[in-house]
Amino acid sequence: MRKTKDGYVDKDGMCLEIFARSGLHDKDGISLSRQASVIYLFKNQSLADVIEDVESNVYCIYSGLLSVNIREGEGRELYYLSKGSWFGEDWAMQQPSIPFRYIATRQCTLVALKTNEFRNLINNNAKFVRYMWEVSAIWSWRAIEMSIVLKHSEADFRIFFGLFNLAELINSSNQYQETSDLQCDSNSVDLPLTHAQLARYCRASRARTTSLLGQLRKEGLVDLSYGVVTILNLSAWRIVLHTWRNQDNPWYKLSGEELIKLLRISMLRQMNSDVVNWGYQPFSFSARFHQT
Amino acid sequence: MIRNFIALLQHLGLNQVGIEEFARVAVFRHLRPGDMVSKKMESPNYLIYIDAGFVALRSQKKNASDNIYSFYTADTFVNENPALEHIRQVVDFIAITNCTLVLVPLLVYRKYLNIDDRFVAGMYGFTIQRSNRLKLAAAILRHGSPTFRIIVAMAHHAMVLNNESERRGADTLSNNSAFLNISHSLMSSMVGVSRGVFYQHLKAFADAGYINLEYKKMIFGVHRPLWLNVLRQIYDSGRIDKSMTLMEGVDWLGMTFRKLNAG
Repeated sequence: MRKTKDGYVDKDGMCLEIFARSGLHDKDGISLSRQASVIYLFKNQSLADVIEDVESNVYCIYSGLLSVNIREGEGRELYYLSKGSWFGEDWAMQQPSIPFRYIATRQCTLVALKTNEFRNLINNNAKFVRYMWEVSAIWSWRAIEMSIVLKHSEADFRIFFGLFNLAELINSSNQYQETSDLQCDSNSVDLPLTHAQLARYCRASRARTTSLLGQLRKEGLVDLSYGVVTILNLSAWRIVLHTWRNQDNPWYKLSGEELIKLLRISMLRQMNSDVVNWGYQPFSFSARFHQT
Repeated sequence: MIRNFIALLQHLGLNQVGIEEFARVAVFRHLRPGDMVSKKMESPNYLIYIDAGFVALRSQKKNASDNIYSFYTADTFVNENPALEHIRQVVDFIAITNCTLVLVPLLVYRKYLNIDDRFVAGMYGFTIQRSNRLKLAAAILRHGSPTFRIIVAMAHHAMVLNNESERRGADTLSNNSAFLNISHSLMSSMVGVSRGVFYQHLKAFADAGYINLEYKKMIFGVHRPLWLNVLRQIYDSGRIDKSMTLMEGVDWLGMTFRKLNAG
């Protein structure tokens, strides 16, 4: 990876890393980096504060966490984007788009590409299109699932699912980039969100979120520190959610205690995973996409 | 019957060899209201094109009436994104009206995604529309007031029907109106309000003359330009109103209507 003398990744390095993932040659990556620009956002800063014409670019998040909010009012997060996510392809492809506000939840670095450059890429590089399609698929899959859960489930399950949804978002972004600014390994993930932010995302009250998180902490399933919720034992969470997805009639009405009981069982199963085969395969979009 | 399907494939940039192969392997299925797409056919193995009718995306639950998430109208694909096969574990597609589907085996579809670059770009552009709709639906369901949600859902369907008629030639629809062939209870479950509240709104809009209700048939005609303009206003301003009441909603529609007539 290219770094400057003081240890920071320079613009070419960032672009190379981003475009290498999307199937472009290094040569193309370097030439694109000349057109690209890098944008830094401080915590709680909105993209519109930094750039006058937001819709003239398409953005890829190099590091940090960005929340997508509706236009008016404070604290109206719809969903989060983490590193490796692209946004702005709708206006670049001249589709009607809703003017959302993009606000950095923590310090963010974005790489911005002019819309006509992006359109050129889409028209001339099929590998890049396949990659973009895959990335947007991940987004829409998560959004649909989250919306369905928000619409139908009880508060405890919403919080539980919201935590898992965000953990998977941050965890999956690891496969898109070498560097990681958020602490994240295969089995634990840091969510840099306060309880209030989490509660808003899961449409629950702050008090209920805190009490469920407290229960989960007692069981060793999360770790709490100031402004950060760490999900531990992600594989146990995955087993529970995988079982949930495969139900004909998913249980939306589970209470906190029942969920914790399930998590406890799946942790035990994990220790004994040779005996009981849960059939969980780490989900790979690429493998599915290129399967013929 | 396959004419529309082929026209769309051409529009998306599939080459001639591909079009011929798609046409050769395509299979037809007819669904009645209430049929589940996955039960009726081995849906994971097919790309599904809706030739006619309405299909709803719903979360898999036994009670079908309270979990509609989104609708798919004619001239769209249902599972065009190969990376999204996972989603079928959580959701299912259910026919709302009589439907005609064209099925193409996923093997053939994937082959052309891998070799035909123009087709991939075309399909990608096509799916962006859907992800946009999802974003709008998510935003409005979470933050809009019931009246706002209902107005947007109706405007939205007017747009979908408008696009459909534009692509197919306007012969299916009369000039100024479009018909939504959806029952009130399904529509209200998608919007997330009770059927009673939904009907109250429809009644108010009908009294003001912005829609025509045909109660027994559960069809309502939509004054198309008005509703399209409403949707454009939302896209332009990004406004999501969390406190709009029924009166304010009717006023908003009235204002838009007068502006349209004046200008």
